[in-house]
Amino acid sequence: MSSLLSLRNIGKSFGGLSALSGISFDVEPGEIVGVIGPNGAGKTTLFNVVTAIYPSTEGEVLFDGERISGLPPHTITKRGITRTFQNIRLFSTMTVEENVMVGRHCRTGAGVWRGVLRTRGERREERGIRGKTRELLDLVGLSGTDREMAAGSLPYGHQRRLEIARALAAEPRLLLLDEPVAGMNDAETQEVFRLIKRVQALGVTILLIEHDMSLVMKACDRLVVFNFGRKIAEGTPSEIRDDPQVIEAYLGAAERDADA
Amino acid sequence: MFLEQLINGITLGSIYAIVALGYTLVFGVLDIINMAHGEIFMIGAFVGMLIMSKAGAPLPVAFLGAIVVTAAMGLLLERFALRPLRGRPGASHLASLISTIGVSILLENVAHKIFGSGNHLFETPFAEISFTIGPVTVYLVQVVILLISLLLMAGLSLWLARTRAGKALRAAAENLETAGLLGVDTNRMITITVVIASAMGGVAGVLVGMAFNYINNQIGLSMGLKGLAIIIFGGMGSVYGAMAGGLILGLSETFVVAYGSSGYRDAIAFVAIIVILLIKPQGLFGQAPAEAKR
Amino acid sequence: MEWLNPYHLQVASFMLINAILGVSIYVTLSTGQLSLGNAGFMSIGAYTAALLSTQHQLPIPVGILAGSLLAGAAGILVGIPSLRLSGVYLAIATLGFGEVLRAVLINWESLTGGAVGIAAIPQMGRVILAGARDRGFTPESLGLQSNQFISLTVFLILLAGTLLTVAFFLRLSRSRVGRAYAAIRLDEGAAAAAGIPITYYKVLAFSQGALLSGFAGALFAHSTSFVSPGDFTYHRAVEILVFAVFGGSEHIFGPVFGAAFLTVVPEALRAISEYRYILYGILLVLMMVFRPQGVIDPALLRRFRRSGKGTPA
Repeated sequence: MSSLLSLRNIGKSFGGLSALSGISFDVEPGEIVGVIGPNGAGKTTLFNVVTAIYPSTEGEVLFDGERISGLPPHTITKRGITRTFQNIRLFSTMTVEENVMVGRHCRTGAGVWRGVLRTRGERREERGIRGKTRELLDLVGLSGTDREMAAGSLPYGHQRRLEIARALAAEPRLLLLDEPVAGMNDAETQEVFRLIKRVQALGVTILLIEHDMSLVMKACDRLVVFNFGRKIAEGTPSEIRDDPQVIEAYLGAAERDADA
Repeated sequence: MFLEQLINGITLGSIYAIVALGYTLVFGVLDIINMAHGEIFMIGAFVGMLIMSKAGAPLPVAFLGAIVVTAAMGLLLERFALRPLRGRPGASHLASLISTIGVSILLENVAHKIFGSGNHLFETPFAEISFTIGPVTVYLVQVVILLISLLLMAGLSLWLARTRAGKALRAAAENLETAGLLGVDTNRMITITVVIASAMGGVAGVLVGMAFNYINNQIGLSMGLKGLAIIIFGGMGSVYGAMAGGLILGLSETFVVAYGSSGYRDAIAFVAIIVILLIKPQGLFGQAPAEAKR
Repeated sequence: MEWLNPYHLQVASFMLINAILGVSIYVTLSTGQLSLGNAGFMSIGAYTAALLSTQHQLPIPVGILAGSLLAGAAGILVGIPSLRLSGVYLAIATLGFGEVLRAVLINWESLTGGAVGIAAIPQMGRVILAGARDRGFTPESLGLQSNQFISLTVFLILLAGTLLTVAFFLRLSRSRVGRAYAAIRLDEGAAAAAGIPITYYKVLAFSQGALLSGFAGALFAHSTSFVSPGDFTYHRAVEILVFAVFGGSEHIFGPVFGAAFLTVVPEALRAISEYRYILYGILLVLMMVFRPQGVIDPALLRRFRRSGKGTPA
């Protein structure tokens, strides 16, 4: 059985600055893999390379055995990889419902003429989109929210969940979550943990960047540890917790932060 | 004949270079295109004309007057049409563009109201003086224009490279936020940039009057658009690109008019834009488009 | 019907053409792109219609259709290369395109008549009147004089065209494509990540805007009977911009309102019409500083709707 996602020797430089170097690991279908490491270790850069926000300088990305390096972002989404963003990128003046409906774009097909003439097929498709949207809002725990509200006026925690709903609307096989519980308290983090488990139960594989160690340890089947753009360790949460290199990396980071 | 056209082209090109530098400075620091730049240039030309023809003052006073007035316009532009838009989230680049378009339309039509739409004579006192070197006749006016342009460009380059203020401007152009964190007064820097760019436009206006002997209220529009073509061609934000681009455009236009069809002269600049956007969108000296921020 | 003043009808007709032009720039703005070349696309529509009807004696509807489609095709050609870049590049490139086109119109005299332009273009109202007369109809039977009938016919045709345009794009904005446009405008990167092919929709919106401009141009040619390069200058492009910027760039009623207001008011207040462009300039700056979304924005419309229903929400 081939891996769902295969990273082969990924490198990324910005001008002279090397942000990623020699990154190789696989993600198996159904797993939740956590990507952890100090700030600036290259984790979000990796997500950006996988989702083609920019190309890698070296190496390639394989999805389901096929090379996706070089494809444009929307094609990668259509192939089955979606994501959330570290700094939440919702369409803030669009409604809650519309945000999720936009996520459904690549699974639907009504063009200009069908949209303007409101053919029977188009109206059916729209009903389907709205139905799916309602389902997803339920799934992420936003069923009580006013769907007509502007997404930007939602409380912070709800915005993060809405972004997950939008990412799920495209029916991904691989979901990339970038710090989904950043800034949340314990109760909210627990809810997101349960949400992540629900999503996994639906058959979606998850790659997760997080700093919250309790969430990471509980939710992830495996961990990949980054530091200075390189992978320094890979294994189960208990293996990683005791890995001296990982401890060194985090302690080192703590010292750097303390000196600064 | 060819040599004389060459001189014409270089003279014209150097004026274009100065206008383009005005655009490039503002774009470098503010990341916006000042669409009113062309009209400020036009005002410089009219101020120069008024000072010389109506007040009978000598050329240096015309330059001084043009510089003072256009610098003031730059100040007003920055204070009322640009600064209120800064620090607002959303499509701020389009908003500044539209705002400066508004200023340009305002200035062009105010000039139309005051000066009418016809040509005005721009008399340079020594316009007739020329000297012959071998087969070539060179006019003193051309020499003066070239000298002033070169001085201005050299002065600007030196100022940017050597003085504290100049370096602060370069820092601001590189990264406004970081420069601010490092202690540069960004508001003042921005104001200085717009003022300098506008003053350069004013100088160029007087130079154009000297070169063509006639000015009208449409020159702002045509020069403005050409300046844009130059910086897109040479690379937005690149000082060398502005200078090289200006020269190339001046030469191209001169030779097309001399040896080809004069009707299409003004179209060259725009064909150049479109061609460059197809081949090398960042311009000759520009950097590759910045990759998405993380 | 003596109150039916041909002059008023003419003003109303220009207002409708301006409304279509306003919508044309609004459509591209709805994906976050600013096109300053719509005067150029308008000229393509106008000249195509003019030439097909004067040189080739083709019926008016053919010219209008051909002019619109040609303008739309030009939109695709211009849009594709410019759209790889940021919005400012597009604005300038489209500006450049408009100027190149105008230079061509002025210089290619054998085709376009040069700076003098093309005259004696079949006027919609007159053609219809002639056709009606052939069938034994007289405008007097409706209580109208000939010129009233002509102006009224033109007005009604333009009204139909405008209503169709507004209805089309209103429906579009509420559909899947409309959501894609809005997403692109708000955050291109997030839209792409959500699965929307950015370039495709940007070019689509751009060519739709170009087509509409061409449509307006063709209608213009067949209303005024005369076109020349001077009708399609950069000033025209800026005027179209002002309709959308002032009227409102976030809802289709915005440019329609902007066009209506800015066409009618200068006619009504003769005193200010001399200062029209000066006011446009000031208006652009003021709007950007104080109300960048324009007069008509979705929030305002919601308040109208609520007060219409009686009790506020």
